[in-house]
Amino acid sequence: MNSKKRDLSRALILAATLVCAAPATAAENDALAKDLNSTLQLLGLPCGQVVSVVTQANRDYIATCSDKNRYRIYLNPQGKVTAEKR
Amino acid sequence: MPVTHTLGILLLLQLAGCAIFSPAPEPAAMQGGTVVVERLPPAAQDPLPRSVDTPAGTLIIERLPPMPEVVPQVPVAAAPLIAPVTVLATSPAIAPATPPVITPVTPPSDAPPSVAPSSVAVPTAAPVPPPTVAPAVTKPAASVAVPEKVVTKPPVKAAAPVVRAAPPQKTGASARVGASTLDLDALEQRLKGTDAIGVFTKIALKNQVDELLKRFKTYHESDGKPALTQLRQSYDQLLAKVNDVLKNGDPSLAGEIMGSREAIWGLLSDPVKFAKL
Repeated sequence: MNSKKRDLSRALILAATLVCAAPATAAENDALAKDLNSTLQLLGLPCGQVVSVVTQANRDYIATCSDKNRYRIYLNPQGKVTAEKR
Repeated sequence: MPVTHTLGILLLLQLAGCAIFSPAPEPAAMQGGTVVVERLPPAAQDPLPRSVDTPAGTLIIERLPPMPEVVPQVPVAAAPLIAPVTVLATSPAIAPATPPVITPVTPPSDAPPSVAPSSVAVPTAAPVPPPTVAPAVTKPAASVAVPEKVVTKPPVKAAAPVVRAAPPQKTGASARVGASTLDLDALEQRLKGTDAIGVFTKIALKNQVDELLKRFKTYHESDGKPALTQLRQSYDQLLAKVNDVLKNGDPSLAGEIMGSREAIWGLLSDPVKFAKL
């Protein structure tokens, strides 16, 4: 009985973690997309809205825009934000 | 039978309602309307003789009070009538914002400049408007409260339109005030601390600011090799981008930065001030 209860509680905790983690990740992705969107705007590159982001490395992303443009946005070794059209 | 009774009662109520509403607005609206229409043309032609002919200017003063009563009833129609009058009386700079009614009122200022304000502002308000143009602008809340109080205080009525006419200029005035008290460090800290933009955007912004500063440095060191107009263009573009990026997430900061636009430009374009940065 005790082991069953323990399993049940673990399953519940896991489920709760997943339920909570998914929106958190989504929010982070939204924030990142917004950040990259603003970055592209500052750099004067056409984009519309960033619809998806793929993380390649630390501070190195591929952003896909609503107008089908794709950019690699990253921080270069000189500390400059750079965007390259893909 | 009960149906006829109820119908009769309803009819009576309706009649009573009409009886209550009809008398009050009529005199006020008629007086207010006629005063406004009649008052401006005579002032334009010969304001002084007319006030002498009739029982002095007091007649005009008595006719003015009904005006505010008309204003709340028909706010949309009354507001434009009042605003232009005060615009001309207080500051000509606002005049372009309200073109339609300006033309009829301009004549008085042409013939006797000193008479026009007094005829518009009414005895007690006449001394007040000229110095209070700026203060009136800084207190928009007062403008909202004034129209209701005007019924009891005729002289305040002249101040109310001043405030209404002022709002368009308010942003410019506040911007100048902000510009004079520019705190670059505070702005920088606010930019760094704002959640409206992410890390990447902040780094990109810093890169662009640094780049612009470098161009200014080159300009000051080499006796204006990049033309100042080009620098101004780049500067304006950068500020516009910053505004675009910030306006949704942190509109107050965006407004503050845009308000400090000229002050910052003053720092950048002046070699002495730039050297101290």
